[in-house]
Amino acid sequence: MSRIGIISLYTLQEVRRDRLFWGFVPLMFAVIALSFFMRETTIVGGAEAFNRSYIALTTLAATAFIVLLVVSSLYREIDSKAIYMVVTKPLSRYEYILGKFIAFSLISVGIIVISFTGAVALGVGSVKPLAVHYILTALEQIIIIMAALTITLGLRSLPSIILGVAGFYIIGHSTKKMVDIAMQMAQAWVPVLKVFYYLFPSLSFFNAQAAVLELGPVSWSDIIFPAGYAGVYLAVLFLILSIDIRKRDF
Amino acid sequence: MSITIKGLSKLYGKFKALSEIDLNIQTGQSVGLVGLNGAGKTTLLKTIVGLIVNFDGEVLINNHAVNDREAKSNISFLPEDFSPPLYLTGYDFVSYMLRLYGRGFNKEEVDAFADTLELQKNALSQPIRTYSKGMRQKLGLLAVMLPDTGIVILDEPLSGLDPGARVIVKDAFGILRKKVKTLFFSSHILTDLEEVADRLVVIHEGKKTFDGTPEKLRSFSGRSLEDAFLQVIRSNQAS
Repeated sequence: MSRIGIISLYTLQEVRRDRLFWGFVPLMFAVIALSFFMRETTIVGGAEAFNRSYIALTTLAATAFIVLLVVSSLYREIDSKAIYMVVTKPLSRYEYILGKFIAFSLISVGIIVISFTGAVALGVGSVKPLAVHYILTALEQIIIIMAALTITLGLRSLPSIILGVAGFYIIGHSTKKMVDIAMQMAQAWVPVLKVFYYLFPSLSFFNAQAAVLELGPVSWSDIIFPAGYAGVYLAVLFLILSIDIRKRDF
Repeated sequence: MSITIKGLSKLYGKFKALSEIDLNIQTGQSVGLVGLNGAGKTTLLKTIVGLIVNFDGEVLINNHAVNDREAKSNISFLPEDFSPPLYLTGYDFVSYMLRLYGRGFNKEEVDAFADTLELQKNALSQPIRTYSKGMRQKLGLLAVMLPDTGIVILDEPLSGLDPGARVIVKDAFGILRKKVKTLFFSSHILTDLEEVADRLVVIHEGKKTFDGTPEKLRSFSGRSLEDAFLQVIRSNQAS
């Protein structure tokens, strides 16, 4: 097995025994219970309220959960100096990052599959729009995982890491709205603003909630552009992290 | 397995943590690194194992640059105040470390080494979060002894250990020396160092101020080794 695979394997091994990991089970029950609560307390359109609530909550809970796992696991490794034992072994620092990234991405995919299966079982929507939505959510989470790794290894102080990751998420979900408003206000600056649109994390690409709620059409091709964007964004983040960590003193 | 350091300097902003250090450690030597808090001991050890990459000068492990895979294959490092990943078991951690060196995990071999460190076998099956500080330190030692690397570097391996654990750890040093390992370790406790080191290096304010045998250091004062160590530091300050 390659050293990247070894890092991934033991990261998964550790996460599997982490109490935080098993916190996902009650979290899912809470999401379902809250969705049922929304259905029962909504006077008109209870079923739609249930569907809307389930999708929004699973997406948000899964993202918050994976971010917590990445940050807590990596920060603990830095704080306890266990990272020193690993990076002084015959492997390069980028192999270490890739190993961690693969492990957390696999966990993320597992969580998304559970959320998707739950959505199908509870009749939240048709299978195809649900599949498109959760694939897009997985792509978003993979970007967030790489960002969380970059921020945690870069900042190494817990309050700064929390602010950094929260900032990335908030900016990611605000970029489109902010650029749209700015473009309406300053037509001449549209080309420049479009650069910002792609330069900042734009996480609003990764959402097909409207299609699931039958508010618009959906097709498999809706995944192509976000997947390409995610690939480029991941490559850029990985490049930044690799350059930074290669030149960084521990 | 040799360590060669030429003109090593390290700056943290304007603070000079290491200044023009020259050091040559040959195969089989057991070298103790001594200094007051903040003298630069940890910085020096971190540079040798490749954790610090921004420095002036040259650090070679068997004629390879420190961050070469070849150099890293020959070094085991135990950091100060270290804790292994809490949710792995002892066996998992040892197996993880061995596999990163490309070595297989042999339970009998691990158990035999664990016995010499008086680390109970049933503890190795338990998650590390249940371990005491001493047990974690012993597990760390197990993880640096097992890969059979030519050079073993330990940062304050005896700190925080009770007298019983210190004796066990010093015995483990004996085992490492019999296997012709090059040992380089730091400690505050000079009497412990005298027992396990055949050469002492004193650094003070980032500079090497003494390099020689414990007997030679002792000759600086008619009294204890601690007194001699202080004499060396004071004479350096005066000069």
